[in-house]
Amino acid sequence: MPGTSSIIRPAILLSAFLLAGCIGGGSSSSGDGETEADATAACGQTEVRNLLVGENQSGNINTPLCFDAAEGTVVAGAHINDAVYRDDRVTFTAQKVDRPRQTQVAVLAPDGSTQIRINIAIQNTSGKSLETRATHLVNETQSVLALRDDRRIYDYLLEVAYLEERITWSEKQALMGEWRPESRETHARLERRLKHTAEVLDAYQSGRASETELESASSSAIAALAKHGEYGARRLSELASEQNSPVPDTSHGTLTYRDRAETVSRRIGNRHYGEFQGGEWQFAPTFAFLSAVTQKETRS
Amino acid sequence: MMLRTITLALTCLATSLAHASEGVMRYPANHGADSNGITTASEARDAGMISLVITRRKGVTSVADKVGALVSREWGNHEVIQVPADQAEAIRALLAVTDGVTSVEKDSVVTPPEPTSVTAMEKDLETQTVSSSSSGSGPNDPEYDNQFWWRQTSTYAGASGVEDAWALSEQSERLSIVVIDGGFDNHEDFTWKGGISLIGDGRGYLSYDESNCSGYHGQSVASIIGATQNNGIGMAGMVEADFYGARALACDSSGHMSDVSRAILWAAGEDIGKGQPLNEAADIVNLSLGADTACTPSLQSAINKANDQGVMVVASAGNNSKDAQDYSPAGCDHVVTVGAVTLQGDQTAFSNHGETLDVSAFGQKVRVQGPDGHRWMSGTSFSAPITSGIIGLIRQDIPQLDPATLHSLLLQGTTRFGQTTEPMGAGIPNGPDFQEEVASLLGNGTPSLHHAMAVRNARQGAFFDHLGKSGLCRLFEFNANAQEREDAEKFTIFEVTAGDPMTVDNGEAIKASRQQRFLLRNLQPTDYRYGLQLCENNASCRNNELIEMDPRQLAAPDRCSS
Repeated sequence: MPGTSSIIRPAILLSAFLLAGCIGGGSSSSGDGETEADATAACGQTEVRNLLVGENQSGNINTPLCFDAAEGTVVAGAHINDAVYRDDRVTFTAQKVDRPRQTQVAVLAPDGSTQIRINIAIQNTSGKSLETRATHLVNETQSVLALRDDRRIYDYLLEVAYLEERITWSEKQALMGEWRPESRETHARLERRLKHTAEVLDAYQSGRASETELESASSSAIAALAKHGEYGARRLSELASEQNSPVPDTSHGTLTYRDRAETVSRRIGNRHYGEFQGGEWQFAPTFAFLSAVTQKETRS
Repeated sequence: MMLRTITLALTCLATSLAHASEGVMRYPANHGADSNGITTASEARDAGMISLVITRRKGVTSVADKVGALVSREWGNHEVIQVPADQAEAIRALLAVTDGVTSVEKDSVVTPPEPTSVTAMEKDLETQTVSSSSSGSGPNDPEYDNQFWWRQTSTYAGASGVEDAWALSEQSERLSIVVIDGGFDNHEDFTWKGGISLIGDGRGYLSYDESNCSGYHGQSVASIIGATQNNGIGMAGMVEADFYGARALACDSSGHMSDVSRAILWAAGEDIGKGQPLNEAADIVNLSLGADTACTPSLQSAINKANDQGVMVVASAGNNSKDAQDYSPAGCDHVVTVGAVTLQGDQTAFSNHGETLDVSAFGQKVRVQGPDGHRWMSGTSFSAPITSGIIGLIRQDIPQLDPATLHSLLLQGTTRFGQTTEPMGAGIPNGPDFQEEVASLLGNGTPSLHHAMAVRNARQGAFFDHLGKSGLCRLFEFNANAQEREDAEKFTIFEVTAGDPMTVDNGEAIKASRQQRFLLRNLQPTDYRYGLQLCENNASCRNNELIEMDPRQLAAPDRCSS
């Protein structure tokens, strides 16, 4: 029956198994690459267990059952290989997946009722860094659209100019009002792409989109980010040169997602401005002021 | 034969999944909080259970059955399930990919911030010079002399000038204030308007009783804001308002963050399916509690809803000497996060700190109501209600300001810290300064002359690096604070020899400008005093009498003397 098998095989894997009867609860121990859990069988009721496994990992549950082994059945859902019952234990292997998935393995009693149902969450470990990147992009949406760090430095440059009496208070206020990244086409484009990334991330996390789709969405947002960031760099450069500012040039570098720093920044993670020390980002002495200047502004 | 078996198996699996709820033995075999007697976070923890908060899409019914769990609490589109700790991660991952689920988060255990030890506190007090007398113009309550936060900052740098702000504040609207905590008492010096208990132990919100439920934290916190004023007994609260207690901490002082979220929604006037909803959203919510986890989506959602309803949410930063960003609700958005300073205005050893702090108020040796009379307590738990009270003094006077505006003005209405080693916020909340900021926004502010760095605390180090001491230490700024002038007039600053009458005739005009703010250099506050007049030219001023600028605001920052 080759035709039938090819349809059924991807969906389920079926095994007859031997049973040892009800002899109490199992004990658990973990081995490399395995996820393991205990269960205590309760005759006449469905035992529900929940298990988290990585892709390509095996999982198992100790579960002595209450009926004759020859009469029972193991039924496995999608993305599960080699589900078997042996020595009071259900074992299985999760397939490689391209997104977080959920599936089930069930042990059926002779009357067809479910003796134990194992809900299995399969982690898509290969997509972790993609998910982290997309999450940061989404979480920092408002900040990057407003080019908030550049804006804070821009305001600081104006404050310095005011304190040096190169501009008056009202000139400073007028120049602050000229910071309008939202008026640029790049703003609208980036906003669309970040919104799309958020939607794909949500779909990915709920198993409705693949890591390829997530990669594509966030890469597209990063490209738009760099373009939008050019506005901030240009305004900072212009202002510093017009005002002959004592503040070092902070317009260098591309606004992008920095993997190691796990943040969107022009400066953090950019070796022009500092370096990582013991895993923590440290600005070089010339740029140490950026820590204070790019903080949340609490007083004006 | 093989096909028959597979078909049978498929049918069985489909049947078992479709009827998963029938005859299912759920773990934790009847561990629902309302059904098995587990009512507190610590009891659940001891039973090896963890609570998960599930947020569903609108219109989606409970999903607990899908993982064989029982619902312990449910409100709106949220439900809480208790699950064995060893399966919690698996269940979170399973529910995350379940249709109709928008988020799954661990329900954090909430406690009041750990108090500092009495020994440590008393040791600090030995170095603290405390005068027990007030100015005499405050309330007549006998404990009032011990309420140091009411004093002026000139007396105690860590105080908040409540007495002056209290004298100026007129109640144009009676506020409603919700304290979310546990251990509320029917105290003779405090009037509760009502409340709600989110704890399913059969007690009401006034849970304190001497033998079985001895926690008193919430009552101590509430007494700072609302102890009955001028009744000749006990303490003086800062505002007369309708106070509501929302009990989210059980008798053992632990609770679930999901109950805190529900309490916040209740304070926002929402129907949470328990107790009577408030008639309208409260004006202020005080949260002197926390969990050592960053802000969760469901808590942030509750805070956002409250904010949208005009509720000011004030939270303690925590007492772990760590970054408050990693604690909640301290690390949530749209919250006024409050750290603790000493009476000298120095950072306390215990207070959490970091960029998420908005302000830090007095929090070491704070006089509060206790189970046996009054007691001294330390912690950010008591700094938060001082800040809530200061906000209340403004809000009852000028109710029309929205939370975001009030939040921003509160940061500006602060005084400088003493010694700090970590970021502690914009400063120490100061009642009169806060009132001044509000008045300024409304167009009737008082002009001020201050040191240029006094309002640029957070970036002071950078300014000194780029402009140097010589450029900054003798730099001052005038702020007209929205004071109006005729087109031809200029704001004119006069210098008058100390001791001489403050008049135009006695002074020398040192700077005149039409700018709302401008800079002045090389003032000498030790030898001269400075006054303002509106003049068309030096000889033609509106008035001969000068408006004197407060000389205390001319003090240079510490780094100028080092």
